[in-house]
Amino acid sequence: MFVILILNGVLVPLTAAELSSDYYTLTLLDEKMPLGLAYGSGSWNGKYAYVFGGWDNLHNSGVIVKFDPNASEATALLDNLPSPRWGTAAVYANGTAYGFYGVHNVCYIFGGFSGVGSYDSSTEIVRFWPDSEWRDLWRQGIPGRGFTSAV
Amino acid sequence: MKFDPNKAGDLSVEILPEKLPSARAHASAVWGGNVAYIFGGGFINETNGFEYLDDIVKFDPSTGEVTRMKAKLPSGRAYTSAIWNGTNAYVFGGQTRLTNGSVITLDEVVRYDPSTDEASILQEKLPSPREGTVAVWTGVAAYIFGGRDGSATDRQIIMMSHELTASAASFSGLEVGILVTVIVAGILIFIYGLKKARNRRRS
Repeated sequence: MFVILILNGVLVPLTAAELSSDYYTLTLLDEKMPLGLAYGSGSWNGKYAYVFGGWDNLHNSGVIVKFDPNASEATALLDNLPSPRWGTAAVYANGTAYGFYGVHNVCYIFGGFSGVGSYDSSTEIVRFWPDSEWRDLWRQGIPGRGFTSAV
Repeated sequence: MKFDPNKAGDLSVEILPEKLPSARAHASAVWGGNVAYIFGGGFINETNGFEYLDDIVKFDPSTGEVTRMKAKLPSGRAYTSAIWNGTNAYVFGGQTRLTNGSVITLDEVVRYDPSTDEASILQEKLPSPREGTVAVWTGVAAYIFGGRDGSATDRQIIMMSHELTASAASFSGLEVGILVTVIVAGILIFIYGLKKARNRRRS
């Protein structure tokens, strides 16, 4: 990695070895999610972050929250998960081939505990299409389980 | 479990023969480019109730090898979230049990560096303790959504940026005492300003 710094008109070459990664900034944004959610899952599709369901402090939630970091705007989408659920795991698959549709961008949401007040583990794989903000179910399920993780 | 959406019919979901070192739920995981790292979690122990795990497990899907790393989380913890920024993994918050038996929610951010197999707590904290958050990495910053502080769920969104600093002493022709600050986004570096030098180097 090689970087050129432009300082007072003077070019200063800087190599990665000369950099030291030594501090972080955590900032609480003014923007908030439309509702409080915990124990959900999420993914990033290269443009937006999505939060899928979770626990809203009283019930399982099926809400899908979209966050635009450029606009710092978080909105609840019209389309929800097939049922309220928490403890899901989610991944974003970029460029997955899908039959004659070719390349596409999809989030997959696995399992979780579904239903209002229910602890039944879901066998569903939910497919969420960020471009259309539409979701459907994958044709095959998983052995029912919640609070897993996925990469 | 492996999910391959390119496989037809009932073959898209496959239960792999490899096992984690121990059964667990409520763990977080990241994809580190070639391997996955799984952080902590917990399991039900019939004697002691919920047991919190402090291990870091590596899974290499190309070989099927599952390795428990030497590095450990600072304490057993579950309900964390995690991201990978291209170099390190960061594990946010979570829930743990103290030695006196009380269960608490954490405000810690743990950095795991696979190149050195070291896990350390960042000096910077989450604004308040929280568990069950959702975290994503955008290529520039991490965003941490919601979570629960032990009593109520949260609507908050936290942004964590990772900054690199370079000592002014390494640049010729620069006034000593000026610190150049840059943000790394993958292999791209964006220079966003100058700051007066301060001793912010972590031990």
